[in-house]
Amino acid sequence: MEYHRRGPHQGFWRLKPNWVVPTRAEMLKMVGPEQIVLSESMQVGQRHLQDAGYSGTQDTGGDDDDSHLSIEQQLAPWITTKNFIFATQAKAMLRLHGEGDPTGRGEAFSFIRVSMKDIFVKAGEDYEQKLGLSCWHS
Amino acid sequence: MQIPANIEIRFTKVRSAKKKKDKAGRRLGRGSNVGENLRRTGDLSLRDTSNFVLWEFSVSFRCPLCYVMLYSFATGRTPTHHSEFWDGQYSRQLLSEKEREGRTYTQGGYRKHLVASLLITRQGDLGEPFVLEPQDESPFMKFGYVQPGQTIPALYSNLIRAPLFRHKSYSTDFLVIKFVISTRHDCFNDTANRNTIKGESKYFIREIKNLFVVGQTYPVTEVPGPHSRKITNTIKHRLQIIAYKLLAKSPGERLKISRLMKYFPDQNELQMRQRLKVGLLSAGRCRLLTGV
Repeated sequence: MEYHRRGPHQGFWRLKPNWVVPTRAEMLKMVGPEQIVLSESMQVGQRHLQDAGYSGTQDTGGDDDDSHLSIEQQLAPWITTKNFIFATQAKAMLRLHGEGDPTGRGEAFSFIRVSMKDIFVKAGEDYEQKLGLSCWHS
Repeated sequence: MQIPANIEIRFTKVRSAKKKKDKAGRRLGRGSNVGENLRRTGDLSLRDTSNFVLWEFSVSFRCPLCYVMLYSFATGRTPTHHSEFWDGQYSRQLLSEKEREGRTYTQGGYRKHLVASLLITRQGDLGEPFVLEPQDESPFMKFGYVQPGQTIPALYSNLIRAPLFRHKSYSTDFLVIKFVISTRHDCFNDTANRNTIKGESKYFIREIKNLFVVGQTYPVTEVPGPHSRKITNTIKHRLQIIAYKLLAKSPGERLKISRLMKYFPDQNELQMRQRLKVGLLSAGRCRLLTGV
């Protein structure tokens, strides 16, 4: 498209001459329903973080270590979904219970990532206590 | 929904859902593509006798991928036999030793079909059946299992999977629909009463036949990060499509950037100007290369 600085269409955007507008079917192919859902899911997560006071600049991409982020940031949909998909491929481990459980009452899985080297803590067990025990044993 | 005080509300009778007929005048029943009847967004409605399913999500916060339901329904995914819905059931076969041996002689596909239809008649529930072979992976990946002989209803799409649990709704619970007549098309569609006025509210009441609680949702696709290439691509394409549609509507085939910006409140105008210029240019280059 081009912007008309002068002429009869001053201040308006118009298509360039000879421009072929795609058909309806082609347009539907350009953006699929899944893409819309994914980008709106991202926006929901982003807005949630903004409302919680996070500026949104700490966007972590790739498979970096997210553990320096707060729980709230680690629960951003782009992080949890990535964690889960890695976990199904045995490339990551999830915390499963505790903070980040979406029901808040132990009925769902927390998709927060834990280090592959970390010890497994069952529901109801205390992390510090178990860590102390394992240190003592070794 | 806010119910206005001191105003009499009358429930309008729901219309019977349109049944598509084929060329010979036969009614296309359950096996037909429901999507074909949904030509415009207004056709997707509960104001007729069409069936519906309510899903209640059990998580108390953050389940953004749930949007998927509305969208998938709207795209008219073709349901296969029996079901008018696109949720499914996963069942794992319970096979005896003998049956397992017999497997090599029977044609896999047909056998699967047989087991599937048997399961439907036994369950009598909604959904397109998926039969899992003993060696198949769990549909819930490593986070949930379908035991041999067990059937689990599930919600599935290209984005999520989740187990479903059927609940019986209270006989005193109903779905109330408030519909505000907003377009001429709506007035015209209302065959029961031709004298409807724009802005008028109509109320409908429906029995809740299918109520499910959605269990743990498992993402199948990764949500892209805010600054990822996927997101910028979606924004770019969406911008183009909206621009084309607005141009087609406008009398002089021209538009102001402010009209476009309404659709992207979170984006800055300068960036959008760039995208409008560059995006359409690069699309043009592809067109040249492919020789269309």
